[in-house]
Amino acid sequence: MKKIFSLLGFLAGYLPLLAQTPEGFVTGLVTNEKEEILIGASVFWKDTRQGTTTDTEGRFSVPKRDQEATLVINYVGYTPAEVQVLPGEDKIWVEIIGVKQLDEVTVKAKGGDVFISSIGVRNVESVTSQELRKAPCCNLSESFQTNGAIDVTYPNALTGVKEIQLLGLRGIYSQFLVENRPTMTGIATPFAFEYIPGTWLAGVDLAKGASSVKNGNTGITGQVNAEIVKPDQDKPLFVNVFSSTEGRGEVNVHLNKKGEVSHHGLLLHGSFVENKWDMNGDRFKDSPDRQQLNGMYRWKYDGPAGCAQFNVQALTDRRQSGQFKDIEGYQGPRFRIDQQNDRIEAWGKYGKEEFLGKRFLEIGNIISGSWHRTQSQFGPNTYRGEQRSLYWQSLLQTIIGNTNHTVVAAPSIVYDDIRETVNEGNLDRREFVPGVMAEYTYSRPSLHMEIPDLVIVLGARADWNSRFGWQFTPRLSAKYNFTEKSIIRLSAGKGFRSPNVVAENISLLASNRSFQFSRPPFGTAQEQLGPEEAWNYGVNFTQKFQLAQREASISLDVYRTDFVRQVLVDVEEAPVNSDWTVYFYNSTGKSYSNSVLLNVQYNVLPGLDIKAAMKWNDVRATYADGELRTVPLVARLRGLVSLDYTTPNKRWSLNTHVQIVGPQRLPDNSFLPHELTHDFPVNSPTFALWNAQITRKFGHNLELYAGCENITGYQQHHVILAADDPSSPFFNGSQVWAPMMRQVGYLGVRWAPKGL
Amino acid sequence: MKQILFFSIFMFSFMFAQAQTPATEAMTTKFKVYGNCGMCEKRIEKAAKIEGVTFADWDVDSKILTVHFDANKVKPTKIHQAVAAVGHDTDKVRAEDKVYKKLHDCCHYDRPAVKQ
Repeated sequence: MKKIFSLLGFLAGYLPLLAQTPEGFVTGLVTNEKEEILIGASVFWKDTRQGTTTDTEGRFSVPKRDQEATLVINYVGYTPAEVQVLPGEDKIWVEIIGVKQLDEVTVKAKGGDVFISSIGVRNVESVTSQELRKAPCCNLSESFQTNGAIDVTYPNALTGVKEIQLLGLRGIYSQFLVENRPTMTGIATPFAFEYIPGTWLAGVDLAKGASSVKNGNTGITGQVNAEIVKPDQDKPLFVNVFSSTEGRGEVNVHLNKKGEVSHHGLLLHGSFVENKWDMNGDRFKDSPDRQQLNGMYRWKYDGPAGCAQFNVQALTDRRQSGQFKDIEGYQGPRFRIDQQNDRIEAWGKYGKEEFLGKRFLEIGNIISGSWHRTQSQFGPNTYRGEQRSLYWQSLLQTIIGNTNHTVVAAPSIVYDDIRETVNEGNLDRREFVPGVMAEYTYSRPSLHMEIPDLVIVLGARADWNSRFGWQFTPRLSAKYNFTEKSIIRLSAGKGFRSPNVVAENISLLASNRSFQFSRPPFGTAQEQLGPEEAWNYGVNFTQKFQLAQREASISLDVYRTDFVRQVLVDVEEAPVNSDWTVYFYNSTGKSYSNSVLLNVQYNVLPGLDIKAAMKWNDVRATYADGELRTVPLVARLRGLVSLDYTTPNKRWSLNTHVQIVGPQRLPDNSFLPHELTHDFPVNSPTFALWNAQITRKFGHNLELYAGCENITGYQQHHVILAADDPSSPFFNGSQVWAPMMRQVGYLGVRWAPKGL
Repeated sequence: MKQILFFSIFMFSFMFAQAQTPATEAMTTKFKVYGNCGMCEKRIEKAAKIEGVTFADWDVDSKILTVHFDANKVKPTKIHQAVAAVGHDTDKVRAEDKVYKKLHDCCHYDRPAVKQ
């Protein structure tokens, strides 16, 4: 009897241990050399996909092997460890010894200032702050000058607003995000990129093609996400002063106070442009006078309660341009342009990992509200707009089983109240869009690499738009790594957008044409414009390699955008009784864009990088006359070559790039009197623009830079049609295909007392 | 009566066991120990068998020391230190130079480079 008791007692004593070691599993603990547990370390049987990650106590459990086998343990920043496991060794304590010696790997092999990641599933080009310093990036749109993927165009002779093109289509077809939050929508669209000053940028991510549905169903051609400097990462004090021969003066000041968990930042920008440049002698200013005051306050909390942010941005911007000299023989009023924009925006974010104490459960909340007012006078045309917007999103992210499967879901609400008038025409509208999205990501661990070799993202969202009804948006992205240096990416998906035709084509007001929201001929019924709807498909192949032991990469993008419905802007209809009209109408036929981009980068010598990009665009639309025509003012071919050199001591750096812009079809104005159109051939000529900048660093806290844009001085001579007579029905300043300014020199200084 | 006694003892032992947990937590750990020969092997294994260690085996070819130990009594660092104390560098703890110098000639293994 005693024996039985002791046996029972013995067994009972082992019960808890048996419970901890499930039959058929090898369990264990992963720590670093200080015996601190490592959470989320990956544990795999070598040469298999069988594995797991460690939990919040650093523990793991993997199915047992019959024979001796090797466990591979990986943790970011540590050298991967391998442990031979013999049958019978069921509980293993693995210490990962020795932090990875990063200096050998990263310092010598330069990451590149523009890079395409090997890890991400989407085709994203990241432009770092280093790249942004290679040109006098006064604002976000100018920061793309050195990028082959985005084209910066010259849309207007009179307003000076630069527009971008992505995948051959206008910037309005991509989604603009600031720190993954949609902003500057509706009537603010034409100025969006002008209102993020260059020094505020910590980096820009450019996602091409159908990207995540997290931030809404817009973004047909991609997403441009601007990251702004964070108060806990930026310098305590940063000052930038800039001036150029364009008559530009600019001051940027950053003030940051870093606390234990709570950080404050203040970003201030003031700029003005004042000049009397008229390089083509048409008595119209080549670049508008501008005054902008722009400020942002940021508060960031990062502590045990989670991560929170509160931001406010306020700005005021005035632009004056147009005719500034008398024209002989013209008695009418001068054609003047005066634009005033005011904006206030506030947004808050709150996020927490391990929500409700559950590991791998993350939440994120975004709330933002904005007010924007624009008042413009273009000669006799008056345009007024006021917009109030609200945005809310709550995001939930978790895993299914293990970290190979993750799911994100989020409900959201977008509200826009837009009041808009063009001369007497009223375009007031209200849009209320509740929606819900879900996205599933599968990552397959690789047998040979530390990164997953196959990643598939399936996403979809359903939105109900108060103006247009239900919108269903499916999207797919996938990537496969053949090796760490050889990647293929695919994407396909749908996108929608609500057009803001007047705001988005505001430059057309710089003419004496009238606007009709109907198809030609004049007098047909007005139609409801939009929603614009398109499919986008794309493939990217990136190969990184070594040439003469130096890093090189080659990348090819092929994208197609197919519109189901596009709002066309038709500027090619002949005037009726000398009443010239711009027609806006929904496309009924084919409308598409094909875009191919080839990108090559090579680190020729230590400190010397060369980049070359070549792009081919084929953008067509079927206009009201039933003809499928190339969309005007899009270059079929573009090229970019840039050379960057930094001396070994990093004191001097030289950056130069040449942009080659191929022929652009000019709007067909053959119906106009010949004496007006003599300078407008069918296609614009091919031309090149050359920019260069030199930067000198003094110690750790001072940097001087100077440069010249458009060194060869290429310019479009006849920009304004009927420039001699601003009262002419054919007066038009919106056909711009090249810069109007010849050489522009500039000089700037960056100073940060605690180090740049 | 017998059944009650049986049951109560069973319960008692169960509770006792619960209170005692974790009484022992048998674990295995493996790490690299620098050494050359059979003499080294004996020295390393002997040094590793401190209190709480139930088994220690060092493999001359792979230089891996396998240790079975009770994680509630001893932690891996102690075992590293015990081995280093007799003159053998581990991948975590370095032996003192004077102890290394006193090792037998054939035991003078090539020491790993000092980490910066």
